[in-house]
Amino acid sequence: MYVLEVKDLTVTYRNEERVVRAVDNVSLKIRKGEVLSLVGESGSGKTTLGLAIIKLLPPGTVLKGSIMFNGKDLIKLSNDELRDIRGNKISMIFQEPMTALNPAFTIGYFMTDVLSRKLKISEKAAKNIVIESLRKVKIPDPETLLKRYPHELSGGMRQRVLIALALTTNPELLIADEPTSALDVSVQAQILRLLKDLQREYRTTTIFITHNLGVAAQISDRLAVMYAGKIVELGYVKDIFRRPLHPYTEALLRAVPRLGSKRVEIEPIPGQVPDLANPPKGCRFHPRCPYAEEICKVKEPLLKDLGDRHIACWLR
Amino acid sequence: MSLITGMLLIVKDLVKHFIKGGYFQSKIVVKAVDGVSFSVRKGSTLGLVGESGSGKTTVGKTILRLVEPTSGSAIFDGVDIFKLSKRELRRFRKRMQIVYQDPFSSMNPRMRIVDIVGRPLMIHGIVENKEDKESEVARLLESVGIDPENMYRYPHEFSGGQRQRIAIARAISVKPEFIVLDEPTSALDVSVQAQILRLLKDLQKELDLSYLFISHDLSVVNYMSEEVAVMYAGEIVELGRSEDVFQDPLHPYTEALLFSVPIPDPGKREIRTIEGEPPSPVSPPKGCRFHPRCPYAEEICKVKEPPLIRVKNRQVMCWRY
Repeated sequence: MYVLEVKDLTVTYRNEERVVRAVDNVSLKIRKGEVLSLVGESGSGKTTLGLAIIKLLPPGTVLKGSIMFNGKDLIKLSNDELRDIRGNKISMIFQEPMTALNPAFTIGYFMTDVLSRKLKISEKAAKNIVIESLRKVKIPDPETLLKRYPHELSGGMRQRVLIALALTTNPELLIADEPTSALDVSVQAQILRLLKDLQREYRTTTIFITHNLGVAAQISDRLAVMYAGKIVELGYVKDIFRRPLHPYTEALLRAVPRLGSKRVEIEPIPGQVPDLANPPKGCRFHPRCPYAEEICKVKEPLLKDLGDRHIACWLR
Repeated sequence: MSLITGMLLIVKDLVKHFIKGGYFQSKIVVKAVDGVSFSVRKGSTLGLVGESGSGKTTVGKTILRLVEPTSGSAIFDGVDIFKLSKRELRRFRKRMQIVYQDPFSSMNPRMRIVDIVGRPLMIHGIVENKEDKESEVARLLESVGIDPENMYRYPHEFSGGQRQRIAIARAISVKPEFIVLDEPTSALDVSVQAQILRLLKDLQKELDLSYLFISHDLSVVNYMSEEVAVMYAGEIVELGRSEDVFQDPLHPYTEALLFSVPIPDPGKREIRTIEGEPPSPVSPPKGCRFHPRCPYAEEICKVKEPPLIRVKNRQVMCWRY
């Protein structure tokens, strides 16, 4: 059962007269109840892909392909139709919780206002749902919290509030864009723990966007590794970490310093992430790939289905 | 004396309090750094790890006197940096450099790379004319992996990783003995971070550099440092050899930090968490500053601050020992 089916999605935008393909011909199916992480470095297209699903992209961005959700193609929906889905059936949480809250309103006013509009219910009814939801995210005294302003809360607390808000509508899909990246390690651990517990209890289908391989390893069921606008490897998180098949995934795992019994040498990936306005021909990773052959330079590999794993590489 | 013990820098009882407010507001004292002592061994790296507000960055800036300390001493090769006059300090600056997290904000966007890297060379009289400067900049760029042909370009024409290489070239241009590295890879992608960490290690060996490596990332500190100091709320709570500290943490905070790090190996271990968040440096908790979050806290921890004591071969600030 799939909650969302992305097919042949290409996202292009203009940047100073240059056409940039941030996401290039990506297909992806999200299963009901799973956590799928999009991992990659900057410029990989992971955030653009996540935001394209709810069309939260700057004006002038062009989307091609299809994004099927509940039998409807989200790309074809009008803004009014999308508004009913956004923040309702599909909820989001972002990296910087302060920018998602309104500094002039108390948490209580803000949350009930948003929810009563979304669900078209009275503010009183909304308040009850809000309090319930704040309990779910383990806020000990929700009534007191409702009277506070965003600046009075810590970063971790703000993120809890936004997770609570995202869950008030019982979304069918949650998109979390680097939700712990701005937090301290000890607070990040709390939020990850919370998200895992919530996931265990409510089975909310989640797309989790992160650059942190450790976070992805802890939170996800499946992983899509992105490079230069493409998915290069897709599979179960355990399989990929145990035996990465794509040379980029392999290189990425070797580049992270680890805490372990002995100090393991890290292996930098030579070169840089390519310029998306002018990506390399053939496989986009070939200039940095230690195994690259002739074909990799001229022909682009497609994402092949190997059963539990999908991979875009000529050598596998 | 410092040379005998192999220590290049000995910091003792460093305190930095910032005063905020005044005139229309009541004054607030921010205890950013509250009495820390540590040493940096010659040719070696001391890692300084902590969360936001722990005071780690302020430590780095005060020992270079980019921020004036409130009290304490910092003996660099036998000389107390905190006692130097402005003029004497200028000569000393050559021996101590700093590299920041965001190289872009530490470079003048209107200057070309040749001038950014070459400026300290001119200021400190290492080169005297344009030709010498250019050939020295070329050599420096080469040593950090930047094609010297790019020296007439501007900072914005480079990627984040390349800019950090340029910032490193500038730091080593004056042949320093000691470099403060303040989160030098935190703004970089994983693959580029690995390149920069490798480069820093290679340069250390080649030029016999000593580093103070400041980071919130335990894995990176573990990779880079021989010794590590863990900071919490303006204090060093544990200090020792990296292997010891990261293998067998003594302080409950170090332990908590280690178990908080999500490791890139699914199913190996679950993340464990502690409650609460780091305290405000304006009003740190009484007694042990970690006690409100500490799973082992007892009565004494709430009232009396533990001293920094020697346990096994390290220092730890906790009543359990």
